[in-house]
Amino acid sequence: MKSVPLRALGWPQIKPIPLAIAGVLAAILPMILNSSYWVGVCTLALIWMVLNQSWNLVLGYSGIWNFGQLAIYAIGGYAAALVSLHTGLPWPIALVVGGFAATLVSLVLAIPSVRLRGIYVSLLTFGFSEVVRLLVIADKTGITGGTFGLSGFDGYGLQSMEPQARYRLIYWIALAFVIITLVAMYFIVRSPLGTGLMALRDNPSLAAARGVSPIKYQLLSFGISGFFAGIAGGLYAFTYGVVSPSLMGLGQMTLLVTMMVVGGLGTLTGPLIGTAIITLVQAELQNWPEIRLILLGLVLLAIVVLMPRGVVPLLAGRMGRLNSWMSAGESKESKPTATSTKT
Amino acid sequence: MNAILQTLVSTIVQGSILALISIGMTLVYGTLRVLNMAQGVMVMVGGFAAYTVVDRTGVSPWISIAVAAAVTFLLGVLTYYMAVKPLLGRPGVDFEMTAFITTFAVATIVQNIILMIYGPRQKPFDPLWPGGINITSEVSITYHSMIMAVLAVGALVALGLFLSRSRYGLAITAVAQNLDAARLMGIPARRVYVVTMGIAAALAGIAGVLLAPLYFVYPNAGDLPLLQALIVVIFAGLGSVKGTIYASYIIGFLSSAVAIFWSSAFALPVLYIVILVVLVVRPNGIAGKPQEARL
Amino acid sequence: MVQVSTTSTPLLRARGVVKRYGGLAAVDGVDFDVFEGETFGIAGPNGAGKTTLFDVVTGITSATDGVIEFAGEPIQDATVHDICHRGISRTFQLPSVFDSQTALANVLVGAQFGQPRSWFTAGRTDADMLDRAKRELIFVGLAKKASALGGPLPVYDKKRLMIASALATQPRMLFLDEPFGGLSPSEVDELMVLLSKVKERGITIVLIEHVMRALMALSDRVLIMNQGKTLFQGSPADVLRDEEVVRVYLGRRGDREEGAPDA
Ligand SMILES: Nc1ncnc2c1ncn2[C@@H]1O[C@H](COP(=O)(O)OP(=O)(O)OP(=O)(O)O)[C@@H](O)[C@H]1O
Ligand SMILES: [Mg+2]
Repeated sequence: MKSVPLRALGWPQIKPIPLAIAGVLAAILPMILNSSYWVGVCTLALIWMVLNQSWNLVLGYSGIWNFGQLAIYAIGGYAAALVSLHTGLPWPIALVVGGFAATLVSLVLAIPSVRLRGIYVSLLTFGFSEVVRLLVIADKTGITGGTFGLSGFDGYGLQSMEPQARYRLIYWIALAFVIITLVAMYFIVRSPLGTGLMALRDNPSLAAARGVSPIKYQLLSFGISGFFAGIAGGLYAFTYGVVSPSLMGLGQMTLLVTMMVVGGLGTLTGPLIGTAIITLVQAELQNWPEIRLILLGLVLLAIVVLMPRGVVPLLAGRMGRLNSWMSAGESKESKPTATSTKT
Repeated sequence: MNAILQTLVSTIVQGSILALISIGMTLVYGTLRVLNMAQGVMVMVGGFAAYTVVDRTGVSPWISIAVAAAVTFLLGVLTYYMAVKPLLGRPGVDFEMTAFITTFAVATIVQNIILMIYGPRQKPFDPLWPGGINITSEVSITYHSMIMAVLAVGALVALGLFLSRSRYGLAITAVAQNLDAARLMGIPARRVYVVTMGIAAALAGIAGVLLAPLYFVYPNAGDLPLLQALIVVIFAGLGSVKGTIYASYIIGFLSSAVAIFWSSAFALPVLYIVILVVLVVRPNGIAGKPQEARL
Repeated sequence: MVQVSTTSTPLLRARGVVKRYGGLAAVDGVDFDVFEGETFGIAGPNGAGKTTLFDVVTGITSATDGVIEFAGEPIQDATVHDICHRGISRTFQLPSVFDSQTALANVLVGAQFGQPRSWFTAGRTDADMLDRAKRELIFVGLAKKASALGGPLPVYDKKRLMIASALATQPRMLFLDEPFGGLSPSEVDELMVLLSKVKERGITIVLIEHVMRALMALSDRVLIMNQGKTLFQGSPADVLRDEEVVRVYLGRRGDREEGAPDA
């Protein structure tokens, strides 16, 4: 069995050096950036990274065309805000409550979604997202605050802190959740759950014929994805002290889908890299909101048309070819015996 | 009694307009397997095109309908070349999903270009024929909504004749029914695609002009029609022309009834719940075939 | 040959199986039994309903009518994955694999999901299952291509990969839909050796095949279908002597371009 190494599974590998560099850079970023505006931009990017990773589990790894994730995210945010507003519970509990509320809604959305064929799922979930947004806007009961949303809750409860230190702390909290989500996704992708989800995505009838229950595992993927999306919503609520229907909407959806598509769906680092790139672009264009969305639309169109797998697999492919080219050259020059024993 | 009469009138008007918008989506899906998310902005652009010609040249709003149809036809063709053609025949990529995203991207681009040019404010548009008649002391119909229904139905009939009589129309029908067979008979599928996208957009553009006096002209004017059309096409089962027409009037009735008897804010959510139930019971819509697999 | 006692209860029992697509009866009242350990061959002209019969038995599509029992229990209403868990595994006529996954990961799917498991164990990777996946990949002779992606593999490799992932589910019964279709003569020979090794493992095989040489060599009993109905059922030796089979199926060997019966 030595002849078949575990590496042959093609699972994502941990590359310690790049990972360590990225981790350290991310951790000290708020010290390097001396403007609270840019720390704020980066914090928002981190929240989106949590959201996009969660979305990627359903959209990328499971191949289910769920376009309702923003509603799930918003519901997590509203739930966390409501807990913070009406109870004295500490913020981590409020976040987790938001996560579970989102899980619940995500599972409800999953029930019709796993029964339907691709394009119907996208219609259904897209409609769900819009209906939730319209319902919140039309809400006159005061629970959600209608168009203006909810504010005035404690959130992290850091109001007494000196602003610069506070911004940094909030950044680090968000960073911690990015890492937690990444670790969770890493283990999911390498677990039977990940294997089963990707099998269902690649070839549903073959997967079922190999014993993968579509409903069971796709519901599970919706549930987990919903939880992290809800956490992302709670992070947004506590970072900015406000949740409103503007968390959802078509513009927001264009933005986040572009991030995932640019980075590469169905990859671990794609949502992170895509989010970083697009956040930067859109922060630079903050003062021209119309041009910003036109440009985002163009980027989305161009990426889907020109490199539908996104940036990460493209780079990984280039790196892989480079590596194999270098190692091929090596073995030709220095290890002629190694090749002769193989044949 | 009055409320019921009101509902009936509203059903006919709304249903006809909905049919006009969603028939285009169904046609495009049937021939190309593209769910055109830009159909909503076509409605909006139709309104803006009509507004602009009337505002600049002072021509009659009737002529502006033709202008709007022409402009949106071209925009539909452009959408085909930008968002659909590059994806055709590419292996290893899910065509339906990527086309969903690219047409969505086109919608975002067009919407924001309009926003940049015209700004976010709502622009008024005069009814094609002002005034109206009272049926009873409380129920009245504006002439404009009568015209809406008549024009919409007229456009649908014209479309039906076009599809069943003309050469191009027959080609579209053939491609929608069986692409391979149509190719074998020598029908140029790509040209059929372009024309279908153009016609679908033009129908939405006409609907946009008809809706303009009621809901004004503004960059988000296409959002609600898109959502309603999506509900119609899911309800009907994608690709079924007959199913779409029935579904348009059913959905038109439901949304009028909810709006009149309850509140217009709940029209869309109620429709959505209806759709959910329909889909759970019949996963391929009312006219679609039931699912085969026991997965 | 494995000795089959026809008095014992069959492993698979099908009675009056009907599958209608609209007005067309793709399978029209087929009865057959398959006994533990034997290899049961199915042949017939194109469109005879062979694949449809497979689809009905393995749950890919639901039967219009009829009873199918596996190990004494009815399975005609069971789901696809449930049927797999009960011990029936299949391959598909068109080579189909998980395109974006490596060969080893393809087989791992069968190893991890072939037996019933509850959802909360979905996070646990089991070393046994990994070993089984590797073993089956070596068994079909794809060890060298373990890390190659499934999608770009050549036809023969895809077919073997499908068999490996089916075997990884630890089936009692293996359904093979034209495993020899589209292979070169030398590949046919290799695959015949592989399938006889599968047989030696005690796995019951149901085999659809146009390549008569392979069908005759491997099968203990054969079923010839035509237009959804049973044309012949019996021993391989008798098939060639049956006038009706020769007239309807074997006689037209010149008409078919690929996989023509060459016995
Ligand atoms: N999903 C379906 N819908 C409608 N008809 C179908 C469907 N699947 C199969 N058929 C029809 O059922 C009949 C039997 O098809 P089947 O694929 O079972 O034949 P087969 O014996 O496997 O042929 P081949 O040797 O070509 O593989 C054919 O006439 C086919 O057209
Ligand atoms: Mg077949």
